[in-house]
Amino acid sequence: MKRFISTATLLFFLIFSINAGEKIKIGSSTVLIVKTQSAISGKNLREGQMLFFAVAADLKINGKVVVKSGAPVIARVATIESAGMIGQGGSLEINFESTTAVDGSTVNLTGSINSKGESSVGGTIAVAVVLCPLALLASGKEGSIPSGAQTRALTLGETEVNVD
Amino acid sequence: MKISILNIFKNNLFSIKEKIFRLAFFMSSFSVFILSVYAPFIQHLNGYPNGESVYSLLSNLCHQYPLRSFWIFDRPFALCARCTSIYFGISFGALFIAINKKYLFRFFLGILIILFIAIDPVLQLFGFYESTNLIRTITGLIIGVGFFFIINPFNQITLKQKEI
Repeated sequence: MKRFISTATLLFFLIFSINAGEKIKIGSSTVLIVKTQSAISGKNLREGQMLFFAVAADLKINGKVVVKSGAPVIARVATIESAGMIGQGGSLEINFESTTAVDGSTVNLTGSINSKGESSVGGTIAVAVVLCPLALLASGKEGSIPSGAQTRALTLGETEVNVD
Repeated sequence: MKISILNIFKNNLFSIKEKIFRLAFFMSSFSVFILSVYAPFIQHLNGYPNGESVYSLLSNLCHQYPLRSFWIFDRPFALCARCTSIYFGISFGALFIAINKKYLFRFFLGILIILFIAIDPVLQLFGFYESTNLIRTITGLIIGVGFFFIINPFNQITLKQKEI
């Protein structure tokens, strides 16, 4: 009987310790590195469109990984201006919304990544005046973000994460 | 050729004009360096969104990739490691470095240094290899000093004569 009780107690603590894990708090305004997974161009986007980025490096707190590298980051196109005539460049701003921690919980984010397309208004006007007025129809470059571009996103509020 | 490490305030080798020029360059480049450290520091002290305006301001000078930057208080500098070193290199060059050669010689020496050192960022840009922050720092410092050779228009041919 004694042997049974000691074995049961040992098993109970073993199971309890496996399931319990450790709760780690991700503080507000913790910096997370976010990167683009492919090139983004303002040409094919519209305002409010959802985009996916990825976490570029593990987020560790007290030596434990709470958000893994590669975790998806949900973002949304906040503002977009298409490139206009007379060489006006476009612009693009994307806001980060959330990512997923190692236990599957949602970590809310703030921060943005933006890009301004190259504007060539002066050059276009010069060409139009000197060579051909049709040059005024030429548009500038759209806002674009290259593949692998990194930026910071910060956590919004505190999140508790279960870490094994 | 003699490269001297001098303190511009503690010797009479430079004209007043050159001293003012060097001091102005030191102050402008060193203030950029200080700002890049200030942004994470103030955000750590006062919380988000303090410091974001500095990050935004310096984003015009640098890509600010966090994985290629120095970190302080769990936040990246507002400039990447290479840019931080370049601005520090310019301020160091402005305050301490002198060569007893004519401007034209220094100009081409600066170009040569920058071209040689630029191999590292160019190879990385085209994806041949991933540099480290140590290499970025060393190359950045050398580029900064080389850049000051180019922009300093004063003839330091008299340096040797004055030393005699």
